[in-house]
Amino acid sequence: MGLGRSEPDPVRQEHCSKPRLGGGPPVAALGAEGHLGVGGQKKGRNRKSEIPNKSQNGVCPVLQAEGLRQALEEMRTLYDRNQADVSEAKSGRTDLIFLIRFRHCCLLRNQRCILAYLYDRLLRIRALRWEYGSVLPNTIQFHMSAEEVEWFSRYKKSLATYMRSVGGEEGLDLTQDIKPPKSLYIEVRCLRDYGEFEIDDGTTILLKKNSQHFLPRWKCEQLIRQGVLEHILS
Amino acid sequence: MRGGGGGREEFGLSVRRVPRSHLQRAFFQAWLNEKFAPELLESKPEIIECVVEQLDHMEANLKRAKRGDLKVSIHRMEIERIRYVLSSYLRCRLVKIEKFFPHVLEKEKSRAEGEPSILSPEEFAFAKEYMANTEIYLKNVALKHMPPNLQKVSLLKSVPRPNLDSFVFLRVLERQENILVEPETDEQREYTIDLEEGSQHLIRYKTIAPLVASGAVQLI
Repeated sequence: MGLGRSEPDPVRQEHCSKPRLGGGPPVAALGAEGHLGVGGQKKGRNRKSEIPNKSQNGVCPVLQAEGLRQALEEMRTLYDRNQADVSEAKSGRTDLIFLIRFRHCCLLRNQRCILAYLYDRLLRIRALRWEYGSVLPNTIQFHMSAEEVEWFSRYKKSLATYMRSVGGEEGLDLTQDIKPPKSLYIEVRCLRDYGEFEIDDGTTILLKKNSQHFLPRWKCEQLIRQGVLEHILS
Repeated sequence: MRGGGGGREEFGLSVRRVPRSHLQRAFFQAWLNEKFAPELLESKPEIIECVVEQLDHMEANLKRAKRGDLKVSIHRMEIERIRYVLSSYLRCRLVKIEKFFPHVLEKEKSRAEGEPSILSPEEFAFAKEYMANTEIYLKNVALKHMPPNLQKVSLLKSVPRPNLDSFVFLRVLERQENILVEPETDEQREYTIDLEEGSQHLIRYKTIAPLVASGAVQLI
């Protein structure tokens, strides 16, 4: 490997890849999406499966548990080898120091990649709460690990507590009113059967597939996001 | 937040700590500043409280009004607009809190007595829960399976800081003199500028951050 060089820095730079995000030291960076080139980033040095690029439509793909396990396995192997070499180095074999340093860099890189991958998934799951609401469709939940589901439920509880505390007696639902209001009432078409829907002045409307209604905007927002209603822009 | 003509008595608010027009201006200023600033700004609990009170009042008045009254639509629209701005403001803060959570918490911890807080008590609780939640998750899924010397990770070092060097547009509200602008490259030297009232500039956020906090400039 040609590690007999006097300055290990080039080796370090090659395997403890770059960017110093936010001006801090180049330790593990749970960087914003894109900084670590999350798409296609390899966990580990050699034969690991690439972390699959997150699908374009933003839905959370299946957690790569196997890849994660392999990366952790590799870290354990490297560490064990390092431990063995450290004791040898202490008893005189100083040429092992570069190898030890190199392995340590690989360990740091693995840690960084793993954390970046997991953190990026958390950010996506967080986005799901804001887009879909508190109840996730089964197809998406199927792709999340048990710990991620737990994180999600703790996050939504925390968010609910916050939203309740702000804005008067009932709290303010911050996931509504994403866009500035253009008009009071909007024309909507129903995309699937939903059933009865009550509006402010007490009247109930039956939402059947393909029926069109002229409804107050603030009542429809949630249903539009869930895909039950469709805003007709004429 | 102008009521319909003559609607002041019907739908209006009794004068509180802040007159209504002043409240509106301060609220919109806070909203725009929060939107365009790269870091989390001071929390403004008094403004939020007043706005929420106003919304509640208007809603209550609307419930009492006659159906089909034209004023109802206008005031309903007004309520919607104010609610949108309020939601947008709080959402913007939440996004920044989540994005920079270790730094925000660190700043709050090291705040001197008497300095204004950047987090309201509810936001502080939210930020702490978010941090604990994320830490527990990372520990259980990855860190505790790693070799012993790598089981701790400093979130403060890993999560990126807000980029205070990003450029922002601003309009000057109060004349400022001798603002020191630091050089960006080695060839430049630092220089001072004067900010005339009403002028607009594109400048690094770091240079004018204290002016935003004091209200001397408005981000646009």
